[in-house]
Amino acid sequence: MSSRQCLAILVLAALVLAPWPPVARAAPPTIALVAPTDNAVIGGGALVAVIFRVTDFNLTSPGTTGTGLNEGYVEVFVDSVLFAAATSPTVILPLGSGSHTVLVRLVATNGTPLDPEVNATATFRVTRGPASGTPGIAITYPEDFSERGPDTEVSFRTTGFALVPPGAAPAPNEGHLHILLDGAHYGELTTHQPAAFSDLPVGEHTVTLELVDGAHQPLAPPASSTVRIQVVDDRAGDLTPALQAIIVALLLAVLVVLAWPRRREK
Amino acid sequence: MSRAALLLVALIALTLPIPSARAAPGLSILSPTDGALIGDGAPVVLSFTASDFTFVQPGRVGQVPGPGSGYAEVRVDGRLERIVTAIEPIVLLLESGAHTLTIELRASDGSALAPPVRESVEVTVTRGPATGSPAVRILFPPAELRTGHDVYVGVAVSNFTLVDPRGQPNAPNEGHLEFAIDGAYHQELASYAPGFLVDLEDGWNTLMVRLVNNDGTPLSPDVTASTRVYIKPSSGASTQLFYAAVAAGLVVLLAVAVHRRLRGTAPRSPPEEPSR
Repeated sequence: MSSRQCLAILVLAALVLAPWPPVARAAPPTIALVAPTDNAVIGGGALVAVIFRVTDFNLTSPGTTGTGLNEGYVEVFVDSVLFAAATSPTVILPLGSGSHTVLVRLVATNGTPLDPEVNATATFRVTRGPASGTPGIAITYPEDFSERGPDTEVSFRTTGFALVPPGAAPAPNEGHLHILLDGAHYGELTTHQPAAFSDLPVGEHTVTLELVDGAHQPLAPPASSTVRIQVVDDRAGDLTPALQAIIVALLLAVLVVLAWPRRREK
Repeated sequence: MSRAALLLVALIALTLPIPSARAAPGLSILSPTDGALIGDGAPVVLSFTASDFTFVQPGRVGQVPGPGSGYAEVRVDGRLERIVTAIEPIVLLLESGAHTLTIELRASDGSALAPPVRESVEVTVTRGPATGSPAVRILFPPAELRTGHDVYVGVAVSNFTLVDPRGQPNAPNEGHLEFAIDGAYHQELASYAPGFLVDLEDGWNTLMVRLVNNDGTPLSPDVTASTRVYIKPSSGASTQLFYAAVAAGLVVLLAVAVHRRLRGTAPRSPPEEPSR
């Protein structure tokens, strides 16, 4: 058999054995996270929309009979915990404040991850405050150096900051207030109520209101406001007890003098 | 050309499909309507319909993009919120304020249709009621009340929802309260509990409550309520004055008594003998 005959036989064999019409081998499937993006800040305590795109992968409900590598569904993990099995490209997550990591991965219809694993991940932060901007605080009452009684209050206004109870994971633009009296920690505020003080000693005092995060750490950059107040106590000038004592003493003295035996003239 | 050949050509032409202009995909938003105000913090339900467009899952194996099939992208203020692969209502929980909702048909490979097929509506979301005019009135203290230095202030708010100011945009019929004393800003409140004003100055004080937006600006038109209270001066001064007067009187009494005693006990010189 000549070489030309061998080549012809090989070509014929190839034509006979090859499937017809020719089947394009499916490309390896991929998945990409469209939202949220890595390092994103999601504000307003909003629900987080996880949006992904797949290529060369048919999304089908879990448990259905699949045909192989290019069919199945998407597992959504939040902070390493399985949250959902998705067959549509959008999953809505109700997440608390703080940093979170979302991982999406393709799995076959029987629930096994593809080999090699096909996944995408993003780390982002959720806050109940605004997603952007710089927090601020200003004391609005009383005015600096004003005279107040021993029981008084200090009002404030915050901007670009959500007041929430302490203890939550730190998140941008949310936290609570530390009240400092003369530089010492006096109390905390988690609502827009004035800071109340009672029985302040007479004299000058410094009140500082400072924004802190959920872990009680000052913000970066720090945000605080200070006011100096002069406490004047009406009760400090209250002479009533002393006057009462003096009156009693005087009465006794008068009685003693009156009762003193008068010498009889001889 | 022979007659047979012409007949053959005519037959072939008859069997060929008539090329028809494919209708362009269409899209319309059914709800919400443009300019809608959605109150009470309710979710926004975006309903839409499409025509001459088949929704498919993007990224399927062997998918060939075409102008008549694909999916839809939903954006809120330009930010991608949903990828939609079926005509169904979309529920959106939105922050207070004005928003632009956009839905656009896309080919299965993510490319925009040519020409683009998209629809937008403007909506405003508020935690407050969607209708009605906000109002505020002071329940306590009553006008001309004579009271001490610390005063509770109770208010009633209508057609307005109090929310914590936390940097969110302004929205109709939502915000918080601002207290002023004699026209000077005093404090803000975002709760329905009475406000507490301490250490008020002696004499007449005018208390004013104002409804303000999330950013602290007054509503338009301004919504306020006022009352006047009289803060009684501390009674300590008059009491002290009284005690001081009593003490002074006693001092005088004591002095007189002592003086009389001293006069009564002093040795007297013997009376002089009458001259003879």
